[in-house]
Amino acid sequence: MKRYNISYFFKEGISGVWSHGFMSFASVSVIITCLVLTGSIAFLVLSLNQTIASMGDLGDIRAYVDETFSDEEVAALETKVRNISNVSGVDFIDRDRGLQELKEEFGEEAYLLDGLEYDNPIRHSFRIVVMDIDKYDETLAAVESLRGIATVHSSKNAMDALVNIKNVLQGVSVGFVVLLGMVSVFLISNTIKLATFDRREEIGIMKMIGATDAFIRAPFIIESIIISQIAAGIAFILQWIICYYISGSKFAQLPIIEIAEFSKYMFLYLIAYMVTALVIGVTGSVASIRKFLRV
Amino acid sequence: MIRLTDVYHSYSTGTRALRGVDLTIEDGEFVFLVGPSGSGKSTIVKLLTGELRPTSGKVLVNEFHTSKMKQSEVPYLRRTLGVVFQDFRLIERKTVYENVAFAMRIIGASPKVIKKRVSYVLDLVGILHKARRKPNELSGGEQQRVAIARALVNNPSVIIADEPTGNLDPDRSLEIMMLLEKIHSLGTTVLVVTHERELVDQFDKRVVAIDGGLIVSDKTGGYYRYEEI
Ligand SMILES: Nc1ncnc2c1ncn2[C@@H]1O[C@H](COP(=O)(O)OP(=O)(O)O)[C@@H](O)[C@H]1O
Ligand SMILES: [Mg+2]
Repeated sequence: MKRYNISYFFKEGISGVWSHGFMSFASVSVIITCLVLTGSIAFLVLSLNQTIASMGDLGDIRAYVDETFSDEEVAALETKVRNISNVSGVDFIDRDRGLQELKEEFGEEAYLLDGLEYDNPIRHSFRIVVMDIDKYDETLAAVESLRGIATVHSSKNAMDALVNIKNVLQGVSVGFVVLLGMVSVFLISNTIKLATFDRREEIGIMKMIGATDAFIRAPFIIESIIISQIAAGIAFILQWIICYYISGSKFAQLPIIEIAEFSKYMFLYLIAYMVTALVIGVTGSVASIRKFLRV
Repeated sequence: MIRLTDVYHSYSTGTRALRGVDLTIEDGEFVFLVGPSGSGKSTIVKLLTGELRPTSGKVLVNEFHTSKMKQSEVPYLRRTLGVVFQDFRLIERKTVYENVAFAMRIIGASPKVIKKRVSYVLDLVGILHKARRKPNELSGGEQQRVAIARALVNNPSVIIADEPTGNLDPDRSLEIMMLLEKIHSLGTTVLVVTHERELVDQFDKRVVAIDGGLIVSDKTGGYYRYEEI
């Protein structure tokens, strides 16, 4: 493409957006809806991930070691635990520290545990930090199956519930992307079809004087890119506002809930919106102009 | 150069528009292609511009074998031709200047070259003073001049005009023919399709007559002969 043509393509593309105002508006609106709905669910998923991560202890696995194991055996066992895939950290808690922590948990009533130092009933244990919550079950099973692990404490049920919510949300958001994505492609392709229909005589003239298909197509693709990027821009600003309100809501003030920081993901959102909208726009326009170029 | 060798063309409707046409036009010639309505004249033009492919036979236009060329080559064939139609085919929303400049923009000419060349051809066809007008502000004869300027602007080796005077009164028609003759005298091959006897008779040119999809006469001397046959 010659440099001289770029400004022509843009001029034509912009005038196309204006002259099919209603269709452009409809396309922009649907793309915005698609992006913002999906983006908001994604934001909830992000927040949920953060909530799960911040639950710290709740997500950890506590594995108690068989008391007949020698120190060497315990050390070897620790290595085995560390080597389990999806384990991101292992904290060895010996009997004394275990008792100490228990006392701290008892607080005021710690005196109930007085005297236990002389015949400590607590076993050595590992606090195991799980990397990917989605593989929690496998990791838990792997820990349990190790020889020398006597009992395992985990918050499997609570974890499962959170992971389930997250999976449902993720599924819903994929559904939205597919469904609204298809509606968006359909609308934008109709907008461009209208544009090419308006210009069918001109397209015929252009072909007659030796324009390549790429040259003829370019303004229409630019038109759809402009539509899609306007939508991406507005969707991004809307998303920003929505996330700002979610962060300030009562829901966000619940003690266990951790809301993700939008500013941390802002750039990612912008890029994702621009790329998704671009794919929608270009797919829609290419699908609709092919027909008109056959002579 | 244009060479049709034993060309047949049938439309999908079954109409046999061309039934064995042999025709050679050398570089620098001026040729009238005449014949009654429905005789196959426009079909020949469409074969030359790559809009149609022959059902059988060979079509050679400026080194392009349109009978076997790829679809992607068609635009490059058309850039070696300038085509003019009865209905002008100008872009209504563009000015006269823009209509002509656009043909150069399509082939990627630089703005500087475009400016110079467009002014030159608009002057050549005598319409430079209306460069800023839109086509619908011009008379038919003026619009056809613009179309000729557009056909000319990329310096094609062949100009093909399919009934260029079909919508014009006799005086305007003569002016357009004289303009095409002037362009020919500047070195371009010109093929004019027409069925206007009086017009052809005013020029001393090669006249190829076609009837029923066959060449029935090919003589130089400016006589409209197909009716005699
Ligand atoms: N697109 C088409 N489909 C079917 N038949 C056509 C088509 N175009 C032309 N014809 C037929 O082919 C014959 C030649 O047409 P054409 O080349 O346009 O004649 P001319 O230009 O000499 O008037 C005519 O019988 C016409 O009806
Ligand atoms: Mg005709």
